[in-house]
Amino acid sequence: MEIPLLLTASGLANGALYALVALGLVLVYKTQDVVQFGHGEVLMIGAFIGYSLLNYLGLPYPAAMLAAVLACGIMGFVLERIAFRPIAYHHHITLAMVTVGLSFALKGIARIPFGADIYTFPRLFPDTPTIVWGKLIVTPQHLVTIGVALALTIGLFVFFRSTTMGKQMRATQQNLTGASIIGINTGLIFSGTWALACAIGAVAGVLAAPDALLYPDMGARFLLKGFAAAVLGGFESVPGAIVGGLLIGLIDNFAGFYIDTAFQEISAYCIIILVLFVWPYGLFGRRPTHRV
Amino acid sequence: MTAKRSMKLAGLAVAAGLAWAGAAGAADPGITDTTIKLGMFGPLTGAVSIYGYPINNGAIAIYNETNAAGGINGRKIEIVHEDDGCDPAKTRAAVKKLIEQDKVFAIHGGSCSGGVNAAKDEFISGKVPFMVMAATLDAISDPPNRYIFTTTLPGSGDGGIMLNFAKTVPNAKKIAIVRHQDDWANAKMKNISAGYAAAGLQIVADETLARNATDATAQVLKVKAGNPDVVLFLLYPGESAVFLRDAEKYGVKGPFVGSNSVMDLLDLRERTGSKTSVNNAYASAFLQGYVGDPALEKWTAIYRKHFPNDKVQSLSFYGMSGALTMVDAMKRAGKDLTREKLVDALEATKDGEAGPGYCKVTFGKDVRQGCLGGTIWGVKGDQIVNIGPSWPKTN
Repeated sequence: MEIPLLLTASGLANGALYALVALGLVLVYKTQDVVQFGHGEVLMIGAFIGYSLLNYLGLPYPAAMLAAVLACGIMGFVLERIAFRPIAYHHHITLAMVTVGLSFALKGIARIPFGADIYTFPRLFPDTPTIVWGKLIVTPQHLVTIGVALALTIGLFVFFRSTTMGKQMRATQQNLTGASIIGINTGLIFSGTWALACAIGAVAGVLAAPDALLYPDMGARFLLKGFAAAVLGGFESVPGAIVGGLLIGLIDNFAGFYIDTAFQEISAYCIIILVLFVWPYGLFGRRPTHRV
Repeated sequence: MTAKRSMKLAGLAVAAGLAWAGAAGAADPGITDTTIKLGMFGPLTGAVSIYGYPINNGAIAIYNETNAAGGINGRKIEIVHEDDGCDPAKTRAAVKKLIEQDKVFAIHGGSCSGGVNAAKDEFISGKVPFMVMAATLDAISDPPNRYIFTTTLPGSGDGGIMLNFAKTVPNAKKIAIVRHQDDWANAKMKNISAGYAAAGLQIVADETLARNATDATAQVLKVKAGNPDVVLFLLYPGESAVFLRDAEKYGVKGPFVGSNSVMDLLDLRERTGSKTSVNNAYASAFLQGYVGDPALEKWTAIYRKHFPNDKVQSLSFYGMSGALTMVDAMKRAGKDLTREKLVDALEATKDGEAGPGYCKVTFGKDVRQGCLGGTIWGVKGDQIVNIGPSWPKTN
């Protein structure tokens, strides 16, 4: 029982990170119909901002992390307004290519001050490397990751159900034309969605960096896993992103242990291909219906 | 001036011009009376650029130092840089450009095995002398080719050093291996696969860890299940840190023996975020000493002199032995330097200065891997120490 327990604990912690990445992808996709291929780099930028505020400005850990999340939220808002709004109604391939460009641009920007070095991101609890409960071994970092992902999920649920902004976002996602007609400022919703997605990306970044190490290319692996999570959960489903992320983390660990560790290198690709063939709308996605 | 005299002078000028052109045509590309143009390439951008500037800059520091001391038989070295991004297609293009467009005399470069191997034919067909910068794939220099030389310890040699150390661990019978699945790790596996059984060892786990992996739980638990006496890890520094961090988390005690990619064990320790993660970790090394070691003082000073803003790290020394060997051979090749004379001089190198490298450089008629020696480093307190090629008797 010990091995499955350890694989589950670690898989859930990794999966929580993938879920956060998937969440950012899904939010932007639902609103603007575009896969944000630069989302891995948003995660990286968030982590670098947190690192800089912590190490160079000497801010306390929680303040530095919150400031990084806020900064990325603002970055998302501005990015949408200046880079995507003018082409918001172009073909989705055009939008996707712009996000690929954004990915390269963000990596390039990070390399200017930081080069290609690998940095060590401080841990929140550096003096407590592990916590042992019977057979279960976890790190405080993993507990924080799972806790923050859970809190964010609940927070988003409340936000979308109970706040005006959240309801307007859902309305815009469901019917853009209808939302415009009833007076919703859809431009603001677009920017707000990007701000929210980038802020969640930054949360994933500052949570991932102590384990993943910090370097300009750190986002690629998370984007791949997050993308697989979004495909698995259903690209238009927020709960699907969460469940998909957790499943990807668990599949990685269990398949790595019980099948072959080499499988972990291709697991994300296998899941994407399998889901697209067998269940193209994902676990929580719905086949689109058209009124005739 | 009469028309006849003008014609004579013009004729002389044309003749002189033709003679000069003929002489210039006879010389190899990249050579003038005052300069030698060397090509250099490496991953200056992209995910692996961590292996670009520090390594190339070590070689550049040696070439700059040579220029400052008067150059090579009156000629100054000029370096033309190309970025290959560690991408085999780009490496091939970079090498083609250096040879055909920049018309360099010789090339010293390449930190990525896949790229250098892909560009190998360009050196051979162009008959351009090539010194490997830091790529370790055996196939680059074995079987030997007239134009390709390396002073970097090849991957198989690295694996051999690791295995030789592992088999001297007291009562070692079972080994576990954690590695990447690429040419780099496969080269290191060559001597391990060939020699473990003869050394009386049994492999109880042979696990793969993906590049850029952030978690090694499955690998560590499989290693733990095998209950090995020694664990070999053939991983890049970032992934090594992930593996050792998780090994400590799940109580795998080692000893761990890493490749020379992690010879800077203190850097590795910092990356794991744990003060105790490398207490029982060792690494193969092809340098005389670690960063800060008095044995490297001279080479550290040279690096700092030419790159005062760079952080001196183990990588800073990787390219120096090749540069020193090139400088020595170009000097010995004489004033009438040609590519063929340089190759002959390189081939004649015997016990050459390897600078910070662990051994002396020796090539021969069919010997293109000039340095096959290495040692094992460990950590005592906050200091890297040279353990030697086998397990210390006092441990």
